[in-house]
Amino acid sequence: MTRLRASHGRPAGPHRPAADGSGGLLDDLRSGTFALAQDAPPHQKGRVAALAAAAAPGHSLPTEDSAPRWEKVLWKPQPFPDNYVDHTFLQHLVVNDAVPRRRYWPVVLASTAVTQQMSCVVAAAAVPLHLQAGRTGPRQLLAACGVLLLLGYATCAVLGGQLLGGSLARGVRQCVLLVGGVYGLSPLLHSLTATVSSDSVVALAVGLAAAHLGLCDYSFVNSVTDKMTGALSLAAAVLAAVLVAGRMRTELETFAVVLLALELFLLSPFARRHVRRASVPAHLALTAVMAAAATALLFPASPAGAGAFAGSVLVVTLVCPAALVRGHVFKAKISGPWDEAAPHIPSELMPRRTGAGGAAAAAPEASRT
Amino acid sequence: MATAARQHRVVMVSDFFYPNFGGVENHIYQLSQCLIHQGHKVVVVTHAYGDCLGVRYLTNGLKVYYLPRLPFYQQSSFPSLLGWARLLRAICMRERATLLHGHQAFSTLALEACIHASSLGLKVVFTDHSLFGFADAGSILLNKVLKAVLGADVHGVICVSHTSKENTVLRACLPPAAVAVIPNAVDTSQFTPDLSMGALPWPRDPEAEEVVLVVLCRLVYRKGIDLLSLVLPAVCERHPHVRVLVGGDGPKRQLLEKVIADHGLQSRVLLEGAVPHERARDFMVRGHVFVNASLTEAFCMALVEAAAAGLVVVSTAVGGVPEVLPPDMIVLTDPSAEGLLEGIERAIQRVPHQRPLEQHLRVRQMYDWNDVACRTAAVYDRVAASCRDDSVPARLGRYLAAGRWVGALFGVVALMSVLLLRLAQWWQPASAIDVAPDWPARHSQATCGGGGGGGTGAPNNMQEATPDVQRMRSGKQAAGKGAVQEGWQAPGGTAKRV
Repeated sequence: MTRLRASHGRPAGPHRPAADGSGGLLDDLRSGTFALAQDAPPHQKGRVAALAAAAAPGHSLPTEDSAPRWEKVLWKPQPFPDNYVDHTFLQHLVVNDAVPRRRYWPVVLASTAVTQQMSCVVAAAAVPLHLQAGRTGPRQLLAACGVLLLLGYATCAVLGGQLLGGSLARGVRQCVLLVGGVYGLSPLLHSLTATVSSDSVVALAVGLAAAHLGLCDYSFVNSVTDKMTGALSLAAAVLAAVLVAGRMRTELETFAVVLLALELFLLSPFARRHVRRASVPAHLALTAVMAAAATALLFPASPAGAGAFAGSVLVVTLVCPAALVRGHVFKAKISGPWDEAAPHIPSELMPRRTGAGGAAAAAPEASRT
Repeated sequence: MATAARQHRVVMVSDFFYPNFGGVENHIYQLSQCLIHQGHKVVVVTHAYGDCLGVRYLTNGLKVYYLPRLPFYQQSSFPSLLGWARLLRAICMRERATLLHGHQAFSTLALEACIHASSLGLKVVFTDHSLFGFADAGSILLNKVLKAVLGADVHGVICVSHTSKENTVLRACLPPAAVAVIPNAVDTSQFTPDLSMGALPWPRDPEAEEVVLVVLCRLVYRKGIDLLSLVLPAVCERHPHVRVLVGGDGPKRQLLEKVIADHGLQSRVLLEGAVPHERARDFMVRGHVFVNASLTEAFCMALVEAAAAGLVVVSTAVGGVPEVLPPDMIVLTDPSAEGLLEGIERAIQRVPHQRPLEQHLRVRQMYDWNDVACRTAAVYDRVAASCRDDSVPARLGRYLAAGRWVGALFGVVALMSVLLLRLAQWWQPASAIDVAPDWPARHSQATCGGGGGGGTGAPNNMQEATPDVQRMRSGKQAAGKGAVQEGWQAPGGTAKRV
């Protein structure tokens, strides 16, 4: 056992395992590792060879010509103890590689998608309150829905250069199916939650709305991705709308509320995405209009709620991006040779129906980030 | 050199042991055999695998306790924190253990055993066999647990490659000098080149004669099957004399089948399905080039096995793979489709110059389980001599160094473990626990001075280096060869269920 015998030989002297009672060293090393992970300037990408030095004080050998060189191999017996720490230790550690540095205003711009979604939720919540209080009737609401639908449709047609559904006939057919389907279902939806207490409905709806906001695919509206994902988020929103719609007095009101929710949560992201792609000022204006409209809708029902909404819009737009940008200082993403390789694999290779597709799908995603 | 001067009585704990198959299982078995051969006492503790429950004996009296714990995810047992502390105490008392050796970071059984062993006053050694990232939720959770357990309870840590050591040091915030690197080994006597008359002819001109590529791994994403499925059609197209044998099974099998069907490679790419480990060598020697496309690997045993079997080895350079074989035995490639394709072509060019027997003899000099056992025993010696303060307050302090919340959580667990074991001490004092008699030593004790592998004889179980898994599975016992249930043991009335 050359390796073991060598523990009495030249390089072995100071290498006692530090686990044996030398708590001081242990703490120093721990804090050293920590300090390095945190002090490393986040924008400085590259190898942090200093960690090796910090982590292994006094373990680097004097480089004599006669001294055998340690090699990072396992196949060769080397005259070093098994716990030897070379100065090349952690040489290939990289901190914050490929982590983009965020700036404030782009993050503010991106946060508008959240504001829009919040406005949608508040609007969808405020309208049933108005209906219930009798401040508006189902017919006005249906008219508003029609106007919104036409506006959104025109936006997509003009800005996107394409008709929703491919052609005018198909678009109309889809609209008819959607509206007719909801209309046909409205008697059922109306009585669906009749046996459930209003408290439960409100609590569930609030929880579902929060889930919707948490799981929503904001990247789609911001044109980062091309496909709307987040079926769970959409399902939560629709379920919340159905629950609330069941509390309405007439079936027509139920129909109108569900239709509005579908337009806001299912269709509006497509129109908003086209606006965002076409022009940033228009997107900002749209966001402002939506936030103002939602506040105005909520104000008669609950002035305090409207105030809270306006406040949260300000927080989301101004404070949260600042916190995100500042929090970047603390980011320490560690990568090195132990990381799983993420080769580029074309998506057509992914098996369509196997469960393993998930893991494979994660790979290109990881390489993108 | 403390050559087996001190006998260690080791309890190996891991969720992963035969009849399950894999690198960790093989490592524990071979290491235990070699330690027994050197005169140490070893028992293995794992969870029950189906019918395989209770106490079994494997070759050379290696006693295995299959505990009635429920596996819940990839054979890891369900974390119960305190659930089996009393059972572990009984086992350690019965076997008069002095040291506990846990294996594999995501084995809950091993991590829990480390905590309880520390409460029992045993020395604890831990071997980490795998690489983990730092970013996803699962890794963060596991790293916190590792930080607490390895930092507070474990006296010595072993990793299987230098890359794995770097990874573990970062994950568990350990001082690097506290971690020893002891690689896996391969039973080279099992992986010999095929020199018989009917052996595969070794081509002189790879462009004109048939070259067979061999792939042998579980067909999962982490083993790079997606990369392989990109590369195989191109290889087959460029080299009309190349055939491919794929061994192993898994969720990515459908992908390979689809690629084979799409490119009409049915006659050239053969999917052989799962290959049990005892037939791995026979499978490998049917080819000339061994291809490994793994995306992450701490120490790839299959590479060493293939090299020992005389094949040209080509692998993606990930994790600890570049450390495993000298550059003239392995073709390292980028973990990308282009890189792998180029690597396979280089390997095919190497085929005519390959000398299988020569390579086998060289690998035999490189890796030997006896060497691994000696180095592990040296770690045991050091750990046994350690005088770290393992009193409860000192342990709690070390837990808190791992972080406020995780430290408090594990501190509470450790406190409860200490209290529970005190209670057990009162309930069932050590004098009330039967001591299991040791398996009679049949060998003269091997020494560790044997000059780097090859020289020292491996244990005499060459024909049976892996236990008879079929029999273990079916639950039938046959005396004399493989698994013997404890009730069969002749001397002493120790056939008590624990």
